Amino acid sequence: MGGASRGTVLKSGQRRRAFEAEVLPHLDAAYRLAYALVGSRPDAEDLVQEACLRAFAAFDRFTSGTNARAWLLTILRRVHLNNRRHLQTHPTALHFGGPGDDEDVRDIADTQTPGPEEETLRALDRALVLELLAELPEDYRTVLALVDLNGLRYAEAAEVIGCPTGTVMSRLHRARWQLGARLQRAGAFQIDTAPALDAPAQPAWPPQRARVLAEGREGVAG
Amino acid sequence: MMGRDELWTTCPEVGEAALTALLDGALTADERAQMEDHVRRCTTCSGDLARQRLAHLALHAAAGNLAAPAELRARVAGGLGRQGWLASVRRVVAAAGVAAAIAVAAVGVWRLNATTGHASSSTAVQVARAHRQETLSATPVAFVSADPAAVARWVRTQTGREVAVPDFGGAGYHLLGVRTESGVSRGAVSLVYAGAGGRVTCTILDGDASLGAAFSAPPGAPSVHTIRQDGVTEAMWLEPGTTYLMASELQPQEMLPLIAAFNGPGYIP
Repeated sequence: MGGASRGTVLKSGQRRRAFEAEVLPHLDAAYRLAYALVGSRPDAEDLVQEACLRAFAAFDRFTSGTNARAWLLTILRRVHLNNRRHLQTHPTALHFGGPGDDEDVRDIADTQTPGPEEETLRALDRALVLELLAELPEDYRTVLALVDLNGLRYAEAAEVIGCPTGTVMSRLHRARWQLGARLQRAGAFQIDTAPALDAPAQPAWPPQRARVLAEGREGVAG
Repeated sequence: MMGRDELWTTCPEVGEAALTALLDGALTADERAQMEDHVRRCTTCSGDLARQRLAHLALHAAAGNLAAPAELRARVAGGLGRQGWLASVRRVVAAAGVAAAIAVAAVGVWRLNATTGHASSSTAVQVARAHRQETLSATPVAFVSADPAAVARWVRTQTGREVAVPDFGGAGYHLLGVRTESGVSRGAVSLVYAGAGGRVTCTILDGDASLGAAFSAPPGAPSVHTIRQDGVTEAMWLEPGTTYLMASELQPQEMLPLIAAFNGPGYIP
């Protein structure tokens, strides 16, 4: 990328091209976070659009080559919190889904997930998973969207939320526990109390530690 | 609501973050070996880990591939272009001075009452100021969109107010977007349009009893009152519980097509 440093003011066309190259590739991640926060496709689209335009307005303060994804998601979360504050509302349970909300997501059965849980996951109802996600507090939905939906490292998620990494980890633990308990209560799967490590415990994303080590060797990555 | 028996029970030997770290591959090889050994021996942790892993994978499977719709990408791209264009328009408007005249349409039942002199209403002054400082700035709106439905949705989200966003396309003005106008009154919003005559601000607020004589409406007859000050024309009309203020550099007669369009066939409910 063009090597613009912090505080460099680009010409209008350059600025837009730089923004499109560095920030817009993370639009999907922004959409997933927005969807988890607001629970409907139209509202998520509006939130993403507003966040992107605010990010574009502030792009002169972004240092090229740094973590554009975390930067964009931080702005999006702040826009959401600001919108909520203006309405003087408190986070409430959401109701995911509406006309067209199923159109953008493949069926769970189409997802190739390694591990012995594959058959269990194939049988899961996507709508049920999202419905149960909507029951969780906003803080839990946020950390699940950042780490489990978008694959952020703990440190990245902490940067977006503005909290210590340890808080991200404990919040993630509780959020997954609650979601898992709800799925179990809804009959989505049974937990075998026998030791669960006969098969490798493979997360959906590359191991956190491997990514941290890789980024340490290669420099900061987006 | 989760019952008491559904509260997690953290194993006393390991912290809750340790299982998260194990699941996400955040441990060193030695740490991982120790944790796996513990999990094999601990039914609390093995059940906890299995539940968390399935929740993690289920969530990723349900929405991890959720992609931004193509129309959203197009809207974002359009908004970026508009932000750059707005900065250019501002420079052009500032250099051009007074806007060109436009054809005056029949106004039907509307009576236009022009008031000379200065407005005594603080609301009118605030709207004029907002027009000059905000509408004519590089970022006149907080939400950029040419889609009346999206703008109405944003207004509802921000203020709880239901507004009908008019279409001025027939008069040659297109919607730029919307901003809140809390400096005018709580819950007020301003729709911003642009066209050959420059930019137009349409401010919608709760019925404003403080508007002075300069904007009083004769009882029993729909009318639009205007006032011009410091190069800005403001037109005001009332509906039960709502005040509409339109501001621009246009002359009062030039604003009539827009005012008519606000409540005419182009009105979007």
